[in-house]
Amino acid sequence: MRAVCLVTGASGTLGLRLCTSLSCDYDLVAVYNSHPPTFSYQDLHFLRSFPRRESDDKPITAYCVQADLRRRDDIRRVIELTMARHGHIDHLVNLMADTRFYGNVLSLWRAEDYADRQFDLNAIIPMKLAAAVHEVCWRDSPGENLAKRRSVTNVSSMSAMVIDKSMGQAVYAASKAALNILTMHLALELEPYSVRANAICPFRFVQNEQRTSAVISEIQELLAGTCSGEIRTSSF
Amino acid sequence: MNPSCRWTQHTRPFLHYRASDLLAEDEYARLARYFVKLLRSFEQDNDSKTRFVRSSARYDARVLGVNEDLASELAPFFSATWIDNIYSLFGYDNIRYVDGALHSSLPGSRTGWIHTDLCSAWFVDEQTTSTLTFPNRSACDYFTGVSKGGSVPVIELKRAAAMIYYLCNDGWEPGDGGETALYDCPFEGTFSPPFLVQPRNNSLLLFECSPHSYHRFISNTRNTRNSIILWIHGTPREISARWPSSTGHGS
Repeated sequence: MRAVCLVTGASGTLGLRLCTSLSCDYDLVAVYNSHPPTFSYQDLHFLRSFPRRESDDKPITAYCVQADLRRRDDIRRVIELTMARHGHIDHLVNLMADTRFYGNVLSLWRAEDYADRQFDLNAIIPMKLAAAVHEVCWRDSPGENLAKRRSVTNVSSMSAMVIDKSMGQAVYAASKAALNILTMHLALELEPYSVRANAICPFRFVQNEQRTSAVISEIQELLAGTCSGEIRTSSF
Repeated sequence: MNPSCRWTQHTRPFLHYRASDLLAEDEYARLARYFVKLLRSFEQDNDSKTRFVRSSARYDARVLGVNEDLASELAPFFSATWIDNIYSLFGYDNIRYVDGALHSSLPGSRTGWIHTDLCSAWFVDEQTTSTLTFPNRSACDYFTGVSKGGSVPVIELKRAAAMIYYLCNDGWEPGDGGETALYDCPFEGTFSPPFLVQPRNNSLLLFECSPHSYHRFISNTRNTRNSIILWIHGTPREISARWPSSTGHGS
């Protein structure tokens, strides 16, 4: 039986590539919010030639679910759908993020409440989702968790590790720093259940093939490995 | 055909197929040249044989109907093989009744109305040696079957599938408009957002005409939007067997 991986932020730049890579080894449930992914899924099939009535294409990359994970009911629905389809969840990979650089801290007093929303989406929601998956799938089966090396992997950012003076990314960076700290606490709390939690902190990888590939390799390594509580910053 | 052409099957908002990079480079270039030549000949000479006209007060596109003469220049689309493939794909009896049009929408053309294309289509009932049968618009009205200038035997068919091939839309970018919007229901709203098909050169949209194949043209803001449309037809009996409640007013 193939391991089941739940991926959020699946239609982003990294999500598209990651799902395509992981689909070779995992059964994927890919969550997107506003834009459907461009890889094959239950509503989109790639065909080899002029279409025929009988589908002649390869298996789909992922089973996709549209959801706004800021809503509690959507978290519940995503987990229920994944469980209904596969019966278990082995890995949770959080790619969802608001990656915009809204501006300076000193503008916050006059700004809309983007900071609250960005913090929520980038740091709090991944934890809520992990907690919900834990409650439904992992809490009562530590032995199986250990055998299957179940894990949470959060994609953070180098913005969480260094201060970039020029780009007005204070809140984004702080939200990712919070994600790192929360991931380490999550690792501690999941340890009794033999579930691992890690984060990786890539540089900006948009349209940088080498960096994107390196991030994907790193995630694959984390999924297949045994480490927990790591915040990885090297090699990409 | 282009060996690297990519076909995709989409199930939302209704089953349809798309292809990108459909034709080989030289095939596309030939077709695009021909399309531009027709447009220019209309714009410069107002030649009645190649006249693009507005087909409807509700639709701003300039439209040139396809007949046997034009069809031979529009290969592979109006070839017997292509038509057979479409009939086969949608599982209809291959009666080879087709219609087609070249559409050219000037910048600022209005967004169209949401419709399904599932409608009656009238052909003159005559012996022909052609491989494909096109509507004879000078003898009878395609949408009503009303004879023009004399009594001719006519037969009623229904549109079974529609194809839109996008070409001569060089430099199209998101935000330019001119997409074909697909819908779940006959109106656009919060719970019925448009699924936009971009009019990129050498790409294609293909769908079965059904009671729920809701679609429309979206206003183009920057450039002229060009396309070739093709319909295949089936007998009312066959179409009604598949879509029993269809009213046939989807055009």
